[in-house]
Amino acid sequence: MSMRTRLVAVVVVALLLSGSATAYAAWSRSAAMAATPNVRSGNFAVAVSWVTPVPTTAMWPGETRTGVARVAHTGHGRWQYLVASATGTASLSGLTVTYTTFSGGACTATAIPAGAWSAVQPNGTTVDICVHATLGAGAPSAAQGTSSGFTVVISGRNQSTS
Amino acid sequence: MRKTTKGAIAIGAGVALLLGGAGTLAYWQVGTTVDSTTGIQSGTLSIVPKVGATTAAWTWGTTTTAFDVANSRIVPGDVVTRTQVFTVTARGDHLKAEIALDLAPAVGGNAAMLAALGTPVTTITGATVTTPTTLTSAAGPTGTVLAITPNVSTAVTFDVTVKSVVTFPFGTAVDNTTIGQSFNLSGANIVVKQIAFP
Repeated sequence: MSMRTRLVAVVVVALLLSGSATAYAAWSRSAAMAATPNVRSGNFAVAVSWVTPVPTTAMWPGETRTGVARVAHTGHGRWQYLVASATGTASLSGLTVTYTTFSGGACTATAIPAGAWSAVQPNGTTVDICVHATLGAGAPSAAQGTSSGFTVVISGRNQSTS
Repeated sequence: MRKTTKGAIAIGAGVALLLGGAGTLAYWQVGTTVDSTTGIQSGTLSIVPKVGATTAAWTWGTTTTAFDVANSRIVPGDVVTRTQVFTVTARGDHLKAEIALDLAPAVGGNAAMLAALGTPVTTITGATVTTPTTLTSAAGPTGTVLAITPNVSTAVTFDVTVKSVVTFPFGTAVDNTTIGQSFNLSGANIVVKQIAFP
């Protein structure tokens, strides 16, 4: 009787991974940032009025008459003002209009240049501006008995809140 | 005398698998247990709103002065910032993850405001990390993209701050159409996802 024998020594150590077709994704996590409520824009307005109008009756050559205009800001943010050159002065030959600041209850000598934006003012403040109307010393005799109504335009614009 | 010796010398030890033959032959088998002292564990990756700061906060400009969304009002020239902080936890010896928004926050609302406001600038910054953990930053399509590589066997936890800066420009011409209007800033998901290591 013959025997066929085979001796097979097998030692196997293996870690098997499944051979399936499943795709394994990378890790990913998320957290939500919610949409915000409405952010609102503000308002802006300036109001101009005469505290003391410029008295221009019966002026004589070389004389200066002064009035005080008030500019008041309302709304949000800071602001600036601009005093434009007066218009309508040509109807009274030799009439010039200039501006200075008002402080301590009186007009100062500090000139406000026409057509230039002021320094930034705090929110909700009021500025008084002295308006000086001067009839030139060389005003002609023909100017006697005439009158001139001039116009001063004061503008405002906003500046950032801070 | 010639002697013929026939013999079969079998040298072998171990495991044998016997095939063939007309009968059933038993085989020898031995086994031993592979040591399984501890399980192999996977790491961690998470992002959640920071404890105590679960909602966004608004400030004026890039300062820490609070902007009261309900009562404050912006004007041309103002800048406001929305900030929210999240906490990231990452653990994995060979983990690398990327942190970014899935969408760039955008303004919505009144048409005049949309035309006036610039596109929000959104950035993501991470807290300082300790070597060997690394944190890098780069510009991405939705804002900043951070890449974190813990490089340690313990969990790394750090905060990331998402900021969206909205500018209301001070223009060169008068435009009062934006007085008394409003806008909002859209939400987004901040996502931390695993990327190829290293």
